[in-house]
Amino acid sequence: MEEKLLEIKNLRVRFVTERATADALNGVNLTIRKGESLGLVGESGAGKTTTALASLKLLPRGGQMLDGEIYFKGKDVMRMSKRELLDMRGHRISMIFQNPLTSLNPVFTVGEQIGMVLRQHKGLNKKQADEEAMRLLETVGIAGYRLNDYPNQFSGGMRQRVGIAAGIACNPELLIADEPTTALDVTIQAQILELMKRLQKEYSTSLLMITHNLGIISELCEKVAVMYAGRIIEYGTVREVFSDPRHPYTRGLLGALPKLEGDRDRLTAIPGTVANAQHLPEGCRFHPRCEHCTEECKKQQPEMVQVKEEHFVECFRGGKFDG
Amino acid sequence: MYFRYILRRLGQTVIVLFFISILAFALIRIAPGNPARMMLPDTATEEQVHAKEMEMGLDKPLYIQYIKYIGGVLRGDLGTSASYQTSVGSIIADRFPATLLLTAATILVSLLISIPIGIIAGIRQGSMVDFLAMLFALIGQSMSTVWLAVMMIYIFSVKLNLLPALGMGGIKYLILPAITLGYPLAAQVTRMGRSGMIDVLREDYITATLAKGIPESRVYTKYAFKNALIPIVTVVGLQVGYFLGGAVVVETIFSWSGVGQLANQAVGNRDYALVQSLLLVIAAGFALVNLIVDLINAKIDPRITLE
Repeated sequence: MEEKLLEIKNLRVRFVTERATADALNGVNLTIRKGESLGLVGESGAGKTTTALASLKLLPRGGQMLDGEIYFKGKDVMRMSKRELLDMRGHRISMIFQNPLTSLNPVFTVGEQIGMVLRQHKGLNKKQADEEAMRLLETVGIAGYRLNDYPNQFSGGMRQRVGIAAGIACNPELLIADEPTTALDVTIQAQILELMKRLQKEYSTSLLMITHNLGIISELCEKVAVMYAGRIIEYGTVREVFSDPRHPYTRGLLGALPKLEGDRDRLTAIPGTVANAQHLPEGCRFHPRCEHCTEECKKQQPEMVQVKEEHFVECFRGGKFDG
Repeated sequence: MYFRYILRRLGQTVIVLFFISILAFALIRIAPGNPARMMLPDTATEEQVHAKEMEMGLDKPLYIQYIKYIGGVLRGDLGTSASYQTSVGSIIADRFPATLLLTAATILVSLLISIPIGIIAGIRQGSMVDFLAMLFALIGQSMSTVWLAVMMIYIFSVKLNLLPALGMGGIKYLILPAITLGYPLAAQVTRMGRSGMIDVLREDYITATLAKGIPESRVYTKYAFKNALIPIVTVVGLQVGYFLGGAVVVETIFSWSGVGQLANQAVGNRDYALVQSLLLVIAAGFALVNLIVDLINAKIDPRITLE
């Protein structure tokens, strides 16, 4: 087994605002090993981004970590010194954000936004950082002379490339990509994914791919973790989980995908709506939407059970349903 | 792009100044009172007044007077003041440095205080520092300048005998008028700095910058503040424009012989040449400052030149 890079244990995060309290994460356990690429899937609001931001100790205003531990290479992130924390962010772990239109600072050139990482972590001076940033732009398919252009002079897809260039600038050990293609149109999505695939190979970086697109997971990842209402409800290799999904929610997700080959059935939608983080149901959080719900499910939180060597599911019935 | 932007803004400024010259010319003539009569003793006869009017060119039709005036302005001649009996240009040149000095001191004092307070209050929203900063701003924005001026004189000159109340001289004379004039501006800039920072800190790109491992202090002062700066530059620019036009109340209370005081007297004397040229010069100053503000903002945020 490879070394554990990022290990999250029983993470619980609550957001408190004047109007409401929302339980975003309710005991997340997640491990990413060196060289591994893990897909984190789930609907909007399942807690994917919160998990990522918590790993960098960057929870937004109002977010409180109630419980749990986060280790990066065996070091407790919450107890890291300021220096260790700054070194981890951007250098060891870097993050690519969801919306390229809002995640670049409009009043600084793209060169500055790539260069700042290099100056901070690699100790380069302005000139060296510019040269390196130019090289990185070329790597992601943007002409180097555009270094001094501002974000508004680029299209969405190009801006995401800039974000990726900044993300790989310091050759991080872990790259967190938070729905990097959601805001882009389909052809650009394909280009960005192709680029990420290539870079991941070249740099042998571990990847945490956050998405609600199952296609992206099967393209880029070996492992997948399915998230629902702030918990990981199924985890395993992509091949295992996708071919033999055990959790009713995962089954629903896969059933909601149209098939291109073979007989076409009606798409099956998961009944009900996503659990509201402000009023989470008791017991298994999926039970109100589950067709196999039992009395036990309504009262108790199921434990993660192993169903195969590399396949775990958080369901009382271990994913064994009749028919 | 930037150069074309400058040209366009300069063109607009010239047009604005042309209309202001007409307005300034017309406004003082609409006001009741006859400058020829003001020049003469009370005992002057109608004939004497009429002769004086002819001498001053006031008998000619208005458009002729205007053309004569604007022709002079274009040649660099702002006319002759009836009350001072010397060229308007030299009077303004004489008074302008005092106003400039007061303006510079005011801006310096208020920005040195308000920008750090605004940034800190924005970062620590809801904290004690924030509360005190907002109190400081609330008082500054609600207090009348006249009352503040009088209180400053009462406390620092009369009671504590620390600073001179009136007149001009060394830096000591500058302190009270600069604080009086600067406090409301400082209050406004504090507020804008705070709300600007609060807005910017919510942006994705700030989280993204923090995620790059850039120290918080630098993220706030460099990467966030530059975004919060644009409305501040605009407001400060407008204020500089007003101050250059002479802060009439403050200059009068503190006997600061600047442009504001001059304008006040010129209107009282119905000194047509002085008033119309003074207004034009003040407007030109205002337009120039606005132009500079726009150019600074376009430098800060390159998206502005595209509009």
